[in-house]
Amino acid sequence: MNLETNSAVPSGKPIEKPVDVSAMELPNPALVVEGGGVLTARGGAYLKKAKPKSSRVRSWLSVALIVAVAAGGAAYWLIDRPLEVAIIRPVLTSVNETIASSGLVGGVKESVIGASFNGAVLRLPVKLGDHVQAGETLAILKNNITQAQVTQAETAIVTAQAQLKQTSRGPLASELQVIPNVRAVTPAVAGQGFASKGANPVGVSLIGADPAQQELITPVTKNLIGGHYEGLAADEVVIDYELAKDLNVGVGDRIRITSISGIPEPLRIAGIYSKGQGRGSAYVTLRTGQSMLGIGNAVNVVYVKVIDIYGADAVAERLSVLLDCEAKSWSSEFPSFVTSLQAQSASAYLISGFTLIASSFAIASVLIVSVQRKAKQIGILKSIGARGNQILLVFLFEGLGIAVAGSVTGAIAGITVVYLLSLPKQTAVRVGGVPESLFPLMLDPLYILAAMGAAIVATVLAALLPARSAAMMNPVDAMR
Amino acid sequence: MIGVPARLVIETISLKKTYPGKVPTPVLFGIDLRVAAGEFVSIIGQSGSGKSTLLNILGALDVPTEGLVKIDGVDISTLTEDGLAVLRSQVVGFVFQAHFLLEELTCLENAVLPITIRKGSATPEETEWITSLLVRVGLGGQLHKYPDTMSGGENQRCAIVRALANRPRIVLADEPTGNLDSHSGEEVFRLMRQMSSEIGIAFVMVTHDERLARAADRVLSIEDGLMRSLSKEEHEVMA
Ligand SMILES: Nc1ncnc2c1ncn2[C@@H]1O[C@H](COP(=O)(O)OP(=O)(O)OP(=O)(O)O)[C@@H](O)[C@H]1O
Ligand SMILES: [Mg+2]
Repeated sequence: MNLETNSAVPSGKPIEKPVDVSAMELPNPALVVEGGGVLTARGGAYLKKAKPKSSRVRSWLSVALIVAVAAGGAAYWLIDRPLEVAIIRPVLTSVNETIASSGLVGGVKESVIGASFNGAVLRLPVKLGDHVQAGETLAILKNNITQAQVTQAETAIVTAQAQLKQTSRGPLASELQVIPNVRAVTPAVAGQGFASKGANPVGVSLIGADPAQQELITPVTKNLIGGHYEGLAADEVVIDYELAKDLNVGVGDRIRITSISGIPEPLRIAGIYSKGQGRGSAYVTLRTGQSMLGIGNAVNVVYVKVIDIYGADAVAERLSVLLDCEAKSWSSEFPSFVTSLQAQSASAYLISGFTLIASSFAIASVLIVSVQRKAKQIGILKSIGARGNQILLVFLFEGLGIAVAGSVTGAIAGITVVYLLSLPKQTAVRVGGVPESLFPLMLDPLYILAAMGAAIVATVLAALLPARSAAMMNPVDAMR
Repeated sequence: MIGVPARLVIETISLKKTYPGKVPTPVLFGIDLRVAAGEFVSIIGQSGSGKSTLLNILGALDVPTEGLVKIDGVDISTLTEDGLAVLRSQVVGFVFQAHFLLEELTCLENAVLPITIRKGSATPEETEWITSLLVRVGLGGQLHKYPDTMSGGENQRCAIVRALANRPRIVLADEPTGNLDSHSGEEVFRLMRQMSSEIGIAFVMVTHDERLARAADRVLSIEDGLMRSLSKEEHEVMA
């Protein structure tokens, strides 16, 4: 450590002349320079300031000394005055004098020394006042506390990882199943690949799923032309007719499907199906799909089938929250299809509504004519004591009769027409399939009953007006 | 009947009727009419004098423009629509010039209809009684025939039985014999008189037939919208 006086604090007598510090004597204990360099943890070094109390005592002593000398001199001068002249020759002599002073000793370069963690000092290789080089070890601390903390933190990591695993495992299919409006849940893997038989590879989208579960989402067995899908083996695949045609293969043949893993997977064709239009996917088992797409035992897609297709958006929203995954509903994937469906159903409702209104008017006019034609009978009935309510009931029942008869006849006629429309067949769209009807026959008994009910209600309401006017008729006016 | 204080089944005081329209048609100018229980009254008058108008008002089929009408002691202006229906059903029976039977029903069904309307269905006794009346008027063989398969006289006799079905206090007959030949007309008239005296029902009959009119207890005439009582002598003079 290089110590150097960088400041001097004057105290007591001012320094009268330069002194040789090394030759300093200490005749007066009051004039001791106190303090010394102290090594602090911060590494600073300075001299402590002298105490002010001792400097005051020294002042008093000096004053008293001067006064005593002066008084002695004066007494000598006045009382005994020799006329003696002393000749003093200048002599070179050394004067021993102590100068009291205090100062602060600082370093040229100061640096803060500390430790970034707490711990008991194990070893201290340097001593106070040692010169040290940059990078030298000043002290070695015992770091067992920190080590304990590390151990604790490591335990916490293990726990957190276990929790993470638990929470990121994803809900089971059975847990998703209980979401309202969910019909079926099928975990699957989906990816792209190339199918080849010999030279030419053909692009194919690959779906790996448990056949029984996949059937719940997209029926395959129903559309099979040949072979089977149920009980698909690990080395088997079900492909669509278009692909089979391109590869010129049939059930039982072997093809290779190469997916992103790059390894061609030899697969036996277990079945061929036809969607009717467009290309379909190639179906393998979940395990085969996982190994082909190289995703271990994870799945990359969960198919969810809903009961009410218009509630798909709500289900997708719930799933995306629950799974923290992207959940796409059919309506968000095909928005234009949704719009056209909505427009179609809206126009269907409009047509139904206007048909109902038009037929109500027709029925009302029929009943009005009927009331007019029966005016004489109404008059007769009233003249022999029929009450207004009785007349009203008669005409309401007549309206009801017309309504029931009309709606039953109408329903039968409607069903017949729909059935006849469903008879003309269009040429079979899928190979090996049955030709489909031009208009699919869709007879919902509930819908028919609802339409009949609506027609009956509308008719009775339409009958009410003429029935009321009949009931109010004045007998003579009616009979005239 | 004179001198016997009988209960009035019909009483009108200053009954006026004006048919409303672009040109209002005043028909009755103040009719004062009293008919006692069981009395047989005939009303004569020129065509268009207002006989049918009066009868319709008495039968509560039409409303007067002014004046009081009491049927069986009840001011009909105080009755509700349903009250009027009860009056038409149980107090008054109506026979029109045309029989006005319902074509869809048989003779017997037509005759029982007022009972059916009044209380839903007729008891076997009531049906029995109606049948006996029909037999009395010579329709024993026509019970299950429809009006369009019967003669005018047969239909009119059926209509009279229908008017009696609920045992009313008054029967109002508006030219019941008008569509019939004199023989059938006389038969129908005789029947009405019999019923009147047997069951004690007051009859008010409008007719153009002088002879039949004269056979009533009392003959009234409507002239210029006013009622005039004709004595037997006057009748004979007129005849
Ligand atoms: N609804 C009506 N509106 C206007 N005027 C009517 C109406 N009914 C009847 N009249 C008129 O009232 C008058 C009386 O008619 P009403 O039928 O009472 O005559 P009537 O005496 O019965 O005649 P008839 O012997 O020909 O049957 C007639 O002039 C007729 O034109
Ligand atoms: Mg008349």
